Amino acid sequence: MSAYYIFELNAMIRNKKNLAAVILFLLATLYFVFVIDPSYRPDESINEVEIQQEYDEMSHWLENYQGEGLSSGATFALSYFPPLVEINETRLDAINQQDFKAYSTASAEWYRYKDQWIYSSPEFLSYNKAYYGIDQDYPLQEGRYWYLNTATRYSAYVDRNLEISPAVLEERTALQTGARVWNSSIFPMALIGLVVVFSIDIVTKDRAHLTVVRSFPLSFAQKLWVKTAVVLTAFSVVSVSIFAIGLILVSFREGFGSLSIPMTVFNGPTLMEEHFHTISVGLFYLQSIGLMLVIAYLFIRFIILCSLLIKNEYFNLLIGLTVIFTERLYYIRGIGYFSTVDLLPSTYFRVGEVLSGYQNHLYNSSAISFEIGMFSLIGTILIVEVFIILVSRFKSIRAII
Amino acid sequence: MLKVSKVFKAFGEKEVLKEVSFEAQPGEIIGLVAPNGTGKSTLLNIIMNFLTPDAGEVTILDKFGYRSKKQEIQMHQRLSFLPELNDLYEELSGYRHLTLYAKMWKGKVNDIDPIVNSLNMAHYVKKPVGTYSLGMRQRLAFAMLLAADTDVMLMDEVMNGLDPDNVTLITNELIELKKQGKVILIASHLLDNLDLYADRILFFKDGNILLETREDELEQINHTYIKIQLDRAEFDKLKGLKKFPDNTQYIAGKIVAIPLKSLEKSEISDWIQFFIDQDILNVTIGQIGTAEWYEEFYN
Repeated sequence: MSAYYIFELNAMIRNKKNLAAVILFLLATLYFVFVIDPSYRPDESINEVEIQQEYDEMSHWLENYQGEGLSSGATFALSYFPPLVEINETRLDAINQQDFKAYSTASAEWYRYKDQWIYSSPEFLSYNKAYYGIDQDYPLQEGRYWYLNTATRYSAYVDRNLEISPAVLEERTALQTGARVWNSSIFPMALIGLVVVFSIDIVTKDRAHLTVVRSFPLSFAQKLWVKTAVVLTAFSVVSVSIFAIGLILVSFREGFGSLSIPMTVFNGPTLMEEHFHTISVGLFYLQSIGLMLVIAYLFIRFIILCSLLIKNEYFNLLIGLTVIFTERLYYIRGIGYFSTVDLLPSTYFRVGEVLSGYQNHLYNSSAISFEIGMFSLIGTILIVEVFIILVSRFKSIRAII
Repeated sequence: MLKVSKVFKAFGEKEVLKEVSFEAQPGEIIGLVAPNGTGKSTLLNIIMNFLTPDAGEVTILDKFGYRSKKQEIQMHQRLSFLPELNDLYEELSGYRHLTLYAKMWKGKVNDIDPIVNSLNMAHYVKKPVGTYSLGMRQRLAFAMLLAADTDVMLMDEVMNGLDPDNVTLITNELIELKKQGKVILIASHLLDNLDLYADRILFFKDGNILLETREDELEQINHTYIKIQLDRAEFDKLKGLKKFPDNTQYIAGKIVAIPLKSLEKSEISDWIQFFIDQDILNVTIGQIGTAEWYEEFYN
């Protein structure tokens, strides 16, 4: 079987469609590294001007307040402003002294304090304006999610006694940039798309080599296993290599970072601080890779099944790409609390958002996790395997290879 | 070694093979001869299990058959099939193809270089197959079988697209394979060429084996003839002058064949002298060739 594996791998590497997909993926990575990422402005950035402005406005108001009778607004400000002035003063001092540990401690406090007030008084206060865009239907929830997320992360930096830099705080180091990329919707989808492109002709191409392939002293199932292994290998090598190239290029600009840097995970369902915790970037990568490999395997076997039934690579491409986006069919914000979307495999295709808990946030769920994702995906794989075994019993189906 | 037992195959109403049976022994090359569409390739495909027969069975060593998935693998470990030229991988080199076959069947690649050299492939074998001519591809396909080195080899039109030098090259290789004890089934239209190495020729017609010629020593004597090319009118005229032996055959509308086994030595001389006296000089002694039988059966 090893001979067939190496031969198929060679054929896959030399396949023009696959080469084009790899080049496209590489170009997209380079575009991200050199065009998109340098202009990255995190919503929660270290913005000395903004802190100073808030500090000046509040302290100026407090210094100049001379009213005898207290208006409701003044009463509010008199209780809201003073702690913030104090926190912001600490934050500004920390920035001036480049003491980012102190900055993290104060900023975590700032996020918690602000969140507490804003969430309870949204009619007077608002979160970062980034969460109030025209396409943002849930600004309060988004604001609270990201404020508590940031507070948890900043506290964890301090608790773990890490060397903290602005790049770490703004998640700009190479490893954190990679994690942000995983957390986007597009990257995991693009990876699954790559699996689909690699898989669509892995079986059907054999129709052009029947007298070679069918004479091998291998069973039909063995041939399918070899093909699965070949696509999985090619996908893993290509995606890890290109991802590593991206990381190395980003590291020249912002440093490589550390695998022990914490990142926040939201357990759901309600937006309370005790539902946020952190895991290391290293663990996040391990879980992402694990989940993605299982998803890749599922797609490969599913497309092999389609190849056996329909025998057309264009159909495989269409069905493969369609399946990637099946979550669109049932996604409604917050329905997780009332339904079992956590059991559907397509809920887990946005790997990074699953692992960071953003999917829990979107669905208002507490069940969308690495473990349930594995359970759902492996269950689906078993169903696909049963179908492959069933259709393979027909010689007319097996005649394809 | 290889046994084909009562194999029957029909495509719809058309019965292509009707209970075809034969057995091949180690060191035997069997030629399959018939016009296109008369079941030669179907038979080879059934032997490989690319097609399932409606009835009958193919076995190797009386032990292995296509009775289970495990046995199919065991059969294919002992069988190899000349790949169709269009089935080669255009983007991969010939060497990769040879490596695949050598590793797949033998688990090692030591024998590839001698094969490449013996078939004069060294100058092109590392280039992609897409750049090969028909003859280069044909030699590669044949080399793949040599690399697989199975006990039984099936070849459909192995000489296609080859120039005379390469036909000779492959012919010599086939004779060498025969010495090594391989069983080789060859469907071919190069009939004179088949006579050079085939031990038996199976002529197919209407789904049956119409004639099976044998080339062993005893059979050679029994199948040796005085052969004279004559048209029907000339033959009839000669029959009026001298009575021909009863088992004389008139083949393909042009060859009179008098079997030697029915003649005494003096009678052989008499017959040759008779033809010379009639001004007929194209007299030969030999077997009836495959091409002549082909003419007889199919034209």
